[in-house]
Amino acid sequence: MNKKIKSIVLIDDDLAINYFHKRLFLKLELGDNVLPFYNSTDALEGILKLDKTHSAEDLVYIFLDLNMPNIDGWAFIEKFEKINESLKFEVKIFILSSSINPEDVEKAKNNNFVTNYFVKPLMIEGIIAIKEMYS
Amino acid sequence: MLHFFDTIPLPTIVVNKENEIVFINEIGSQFLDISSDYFTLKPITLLLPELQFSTLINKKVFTTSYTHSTGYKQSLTIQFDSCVVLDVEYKFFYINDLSKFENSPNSVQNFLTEIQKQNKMLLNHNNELKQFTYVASHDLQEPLLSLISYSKLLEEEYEDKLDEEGKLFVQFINKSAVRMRSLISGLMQYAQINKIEDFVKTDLQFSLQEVQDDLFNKINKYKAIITVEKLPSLYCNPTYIRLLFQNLISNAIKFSKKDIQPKIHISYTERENDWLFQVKDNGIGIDSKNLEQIFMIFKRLHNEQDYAGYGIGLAHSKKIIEIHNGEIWVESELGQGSTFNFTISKNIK
Repeated sequence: MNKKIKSIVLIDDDLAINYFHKRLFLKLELGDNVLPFYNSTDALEGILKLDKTHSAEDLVYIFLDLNMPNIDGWAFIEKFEKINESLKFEVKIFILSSSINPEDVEKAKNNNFVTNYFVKPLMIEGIIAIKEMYS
Repeated sequence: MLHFFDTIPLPTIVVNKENEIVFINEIGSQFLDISSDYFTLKPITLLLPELQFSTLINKKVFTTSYTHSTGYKQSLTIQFDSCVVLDVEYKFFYINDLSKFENSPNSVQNFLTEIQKQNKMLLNHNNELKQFTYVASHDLQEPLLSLISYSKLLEEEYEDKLDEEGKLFVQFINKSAVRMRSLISGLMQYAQINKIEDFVKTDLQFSLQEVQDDLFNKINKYKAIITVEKLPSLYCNPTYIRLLFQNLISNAIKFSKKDIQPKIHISYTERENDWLFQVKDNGIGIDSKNLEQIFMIFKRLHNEQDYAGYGIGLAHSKKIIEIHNGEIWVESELGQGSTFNFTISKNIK
């Protein structure tokens, strides 16, 4: 578990929320390369590109919103499953959703690709918890 | 579908074209004292041997005799009806003789009480909805108004004291609050489109001209060409139908292809039971997997940055068409333009 978090990918269609999380991640030094994306298609492309600069020793965190236009969070995960094999680096997906619907939480828990589920916005305590639990 | 007849407080037998029993409702099998399963797909003459098919006329009441399993013979008053459901013809026999089954466990009185109870529940739900709408329009708006006004004040009066990022934060707050306000009022309007208000004879040609006048700036800005067939006069709610056309036309303009002049054609066909309208555009089109989702409230297919909006217009349109006993659907392919179809029933008045 001593891989380094080389990049953090943020996927959320809301500009303000992406900005907020990026700022907080940098401030609390969860990682120093934070990449915001505003839709799933751009994010998938961006993640594929990371393969050129990232190695098997690297860890990439993805913070994923569920409710997005066109390809939503769940559809993103389906598409990600298909490219995951081809990636050199290890990925952990955290869902960041404004949904407090227990069904979404349950669905996330049952998905092998989802490491954890957080209700957004993430605050300082949440990021500290992530640091303690996963790094 | 046939289980609908379980809610009818009269013993009912449903028969198919071959005069076989396809359904006996619960009160029916209790009243006749039989197992409905046993009689399924058996000829109805097994149950009512004296039945004369040649004399059956819709809505006509006739009497026939019925022999209980105990051997007890009684005369039944039956109302006959028939209709075609989903292309299949059915005959309905309603046993109309109420006095004969007042002593049965599920008497008419019980059913009436049940119906009254359900009506009361429905009224309660309606009241709750009204209250909900009221809360949304007043109580939820107030804190938002504070957010909107104070963030604006902060931006203006502290302009010198805030650095660039500080100003950005304030803008985020303001924009989100303004958006929330629009979402709430959209939801509120959505909840309110359900009263069947008076339908009046409306000249749609005139309505559409009004819509085009209202959208003048937008049409002008995009240099959109709108062609309209001579539209009919028909019974509808004019305010809602104007809103519907406004939604469809402004969507057609909004989702036009970059650098291609939007062309919108509005046409109609008069059919036996309804009017079919079509709003056809040459815009960006819709992926086939999203053709139904787009009518759900707040469902959006594009990012705010690409196409601004709230995901409200088409949900409103669907509700408007529903109160006109019609249907709305879209035919489209990505990149190939879209055709929105909707119908307005002739049987609404």
